[in-house]
Amino acid sequence: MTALFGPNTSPIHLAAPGPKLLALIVLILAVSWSPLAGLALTAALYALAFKGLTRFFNQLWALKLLIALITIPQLLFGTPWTTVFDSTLRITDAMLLATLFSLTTKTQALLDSIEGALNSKPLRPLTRLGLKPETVSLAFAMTMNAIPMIMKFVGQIKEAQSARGLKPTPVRMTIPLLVASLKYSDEFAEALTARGVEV
Amino acid sequence: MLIEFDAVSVAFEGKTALDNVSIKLDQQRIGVIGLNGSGKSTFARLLNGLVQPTSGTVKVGGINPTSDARAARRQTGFIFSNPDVQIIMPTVIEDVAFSLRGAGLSKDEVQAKALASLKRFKIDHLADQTAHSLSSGQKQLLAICAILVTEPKLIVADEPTALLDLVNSRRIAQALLSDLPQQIVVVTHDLELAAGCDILLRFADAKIVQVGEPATVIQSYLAENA
Repeated sequence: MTALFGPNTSPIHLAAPGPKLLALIVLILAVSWSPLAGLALTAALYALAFKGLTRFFNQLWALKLLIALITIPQLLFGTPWTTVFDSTLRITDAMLLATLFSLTTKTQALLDSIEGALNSKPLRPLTRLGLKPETVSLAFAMTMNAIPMIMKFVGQIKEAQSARGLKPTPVRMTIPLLVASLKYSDEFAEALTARGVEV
Repeated sequence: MLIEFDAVSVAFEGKTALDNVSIKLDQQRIGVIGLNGSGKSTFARLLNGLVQPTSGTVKVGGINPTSDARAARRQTGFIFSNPDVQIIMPTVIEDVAFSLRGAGLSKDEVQAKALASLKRFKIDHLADQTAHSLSSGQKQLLAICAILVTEPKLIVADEPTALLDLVNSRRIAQALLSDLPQQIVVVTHDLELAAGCDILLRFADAKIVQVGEPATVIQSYLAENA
């Protein structure tokens, strides 16, 4: 989801991040009522944003493992296939819509919106309860930023295990990935401190 | 700016990382060399309060980084060896602009300053790119831009060329040794970079064992570790 944003001039790219985030939430709730119609609507939004459906199918293909992970256990436990189909479609719709949002929204604009919203009158009481808008937006940015790093670690661990004749499996990768992520978080925290971030 | 260490010691979990170091430095380009674990990085981290002394006092431009870490970090920019961990925001321009949060500037001013900082190192054409997709050399230049945009008085670089190839190492060395008006403290294993400094400190066993002209210090370092 990180920094997938690419410059474009579609109405979806140009929409303000705050209302767009609200629309995303509403759409995700709405597609739950009719997942198949929701998928068609999502495809139409991708077509509007990217002048075609190539991006839509690329993102759908990227979700294949997740779809398999959601579907197979349900089928194995004997859940009726119509229920499995509906629930998988709902999650796929939500993932595709969330990806569309990050593909069409500049991170900084989104962070400004989050800060703006938390500083707005209706949500201002939350700041009195200790919720700092800048901390929330920074946490959001950091989460987005951590994704490519974790993907990089996954690639490095896979390569290292393959080089030593091991077939990388999720179980074998868990501990090295955890160690690499913890080391990264330590170094990242130090870099944040050095740049004057106090949270 | 005067850097003063007065009987500074640092210990981590019973292990001495720096042992009773006292020195005064006001040179423009200060190099720090030594074997791994000799205390170089601890020395560098004391300059902006990333590490606190167990005993003794550090002062940088009159500011004590232990008691006034915020002021110390405002005047001191820090460059790490791994450029990946220094990236906070997803895109190049956003990462540089991040440094100016809370500076009281308008959005347009922040954007203009960030872009000017990127232009200085000729990476403004990468402004809208994903920061993690850059090469290691470009990421390290981005880290320098993100620090320079806040106009620090001192830049501390801890092995800034460790993960870079020859071309990128030379580009970073050129930036640190020639292009920047700031005072620089550079911790390095790159003897070519160390040779370009005004003064060199050599660390061994948590102590400064030699201070002097880079050529002389490098010669004895090589001789001792031959």
